[in-house]
Amino acid sequence: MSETERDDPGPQDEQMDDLLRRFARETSEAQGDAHGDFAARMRTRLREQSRRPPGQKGQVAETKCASARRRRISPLLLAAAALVLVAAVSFLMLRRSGPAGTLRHQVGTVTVEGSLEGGDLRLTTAAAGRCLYGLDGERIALFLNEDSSLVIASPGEIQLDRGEVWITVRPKSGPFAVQTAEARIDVIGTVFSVRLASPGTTVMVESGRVSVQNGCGIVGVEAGQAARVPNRALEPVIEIVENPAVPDWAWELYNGATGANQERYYPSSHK
Amino acid sequence: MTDQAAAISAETFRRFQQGDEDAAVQIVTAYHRRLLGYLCVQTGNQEAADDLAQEVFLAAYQQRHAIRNEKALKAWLFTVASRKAARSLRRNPPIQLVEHDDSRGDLVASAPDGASPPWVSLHNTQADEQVRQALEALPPVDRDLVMLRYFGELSIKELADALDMPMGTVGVKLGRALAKMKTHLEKQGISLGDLLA
Repeated sequence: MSETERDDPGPQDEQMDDLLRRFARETSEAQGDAHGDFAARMRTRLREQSRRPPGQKGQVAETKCASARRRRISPLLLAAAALVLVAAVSFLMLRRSGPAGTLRHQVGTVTVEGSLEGGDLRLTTAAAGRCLYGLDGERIALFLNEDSSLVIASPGEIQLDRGEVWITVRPKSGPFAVQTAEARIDVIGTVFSVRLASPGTTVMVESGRVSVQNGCGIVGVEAGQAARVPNRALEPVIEIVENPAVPDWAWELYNGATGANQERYYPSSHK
Repeated sequence: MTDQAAAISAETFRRFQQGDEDAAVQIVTAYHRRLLGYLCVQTGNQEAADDLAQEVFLAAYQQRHAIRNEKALKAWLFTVASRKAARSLRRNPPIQLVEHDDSRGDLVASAPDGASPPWVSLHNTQADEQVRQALEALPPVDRDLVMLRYFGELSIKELADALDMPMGTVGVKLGRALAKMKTHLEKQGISLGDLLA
C-alpha cells in the first residue's frame, strides 16, 4: 500500500487482504495483454487533446461550438476529412428470413452478446474479424468491419461505439437511426448506405437521404454527399464524394452470405 | 505493496499540469493497467473498460488544473473511474452472453438465468474466479469500496475523501465487506489457505 496507509487501521483479515491484493495485481497485469497498445492510443488522443485550448476546471473544449466553428473552416481539416472519406453504395437485397436478427456471415472472431428480445444486442469484431448481420427480417444489413463494436438497441436503432459499419436499408422501410458519440443519423429517404468511423463520424449516402445532427447543428445529406462530424462540438460538414466504391471486405461478406461470386460491386448496376 | 503503480514525481506532475504530452503519457503508463483492471471487473466488459479508461485519462488531462498535486492524482483517477463505471452500468446493464453457432448460422443462448456474470470470461485462474464471485455477492457500494482499495491502492484516508465518509466509517465498512466475502467463500466450501497456496 502507499505511504499514506501507514496510519490505516490495517486489514482485519490478513488472508482476505492478501487474496485481494493478489487478485488485483493479477487482473491488472493481465490488462497488458488485453489492451496492449493502450498507452500508444492514449498518446494519440492526448496529442489531439493538447492541440485544443488548455482545459481549465469546468472548461471543456468539446462543448464549445464557437471554437468548433473556427476549426470547421480550417482548410487543413477539410483536406484531412477528404482523405478519410470513402464511397458507399446500397448493394444488398438479402433474401427475407424469419428472425428479427441473424448473423449471416462472419470472418474471424465475432462476439455476440445479449439478445434483441432482451433490449440490447452487442456485436463486436476482433482485430481480424468482420461480420454481416441481417436485422428486422433483413430489411437492414449491417456490415461490421474489423475492430468494431455496436449495440442494436432495437430493430430501428443502432449505436456505433467503435470502428466502422456500412448499412443498407431497404426502400420504404420504417424509421432507422444510427447513434454515435458525435452525432445521430436518421433515415429520411429510401435506400442508403452509410459509413461511420470512430473517432469522429463520417456518413456517406449512396442513394436516398439521411439527416445528421448533434448538439451544434443538423444537415441533410443527399446521395453522393458525405457529412463528417469530428466531434460533438463541431457542426456536421457536408462534402462531395467522388467515385464511391464498396470496400473489398464488405463485398466479400456479401458474397459469403449469399453464395454469390462477384468480384466487384458497382452501384450503377444495382437496382 | 510491491506491485503498486509507479509513483508520479512532483516534476512529472508539474509538467503534466503545464500540458506536457510526455508527462501525460507517463501517467497513463503508470496507472493504466490498474485502472483497466478495476474497470474491467466493474463493467465485466473489456471494450467498455478500454473506452472508460480513455475517458478517465482524457478527463484528467482536460481538468489537470483541478487536481491538487501528484499525491491526489491516483485517487482522482479512480474516483472518476468509479463514477464513469457506475454511469456506464446504469446505461448498459450487464447482458447475457450469447455464443454464435457456426454450424447453424444463428444465435444460441448459452447462459441461463443465474449463470456467471459477464466478467466470468475474463478470469485467469480458478482462485481469481472465486474472488470475483465473492466480490459479485457484495452490495455495489461495498464492492466499489473494496475495488477502490485494492485496485486503486487507495489508503483509508484517500477512500474517505473520495467517498465523502469519515475514516472510521470507511474502515468499518471495509472490514465488514471483507468479512462478507470471506463468509461467502467459506459457504462455498472454499478455503482461503487453498486460494492463497
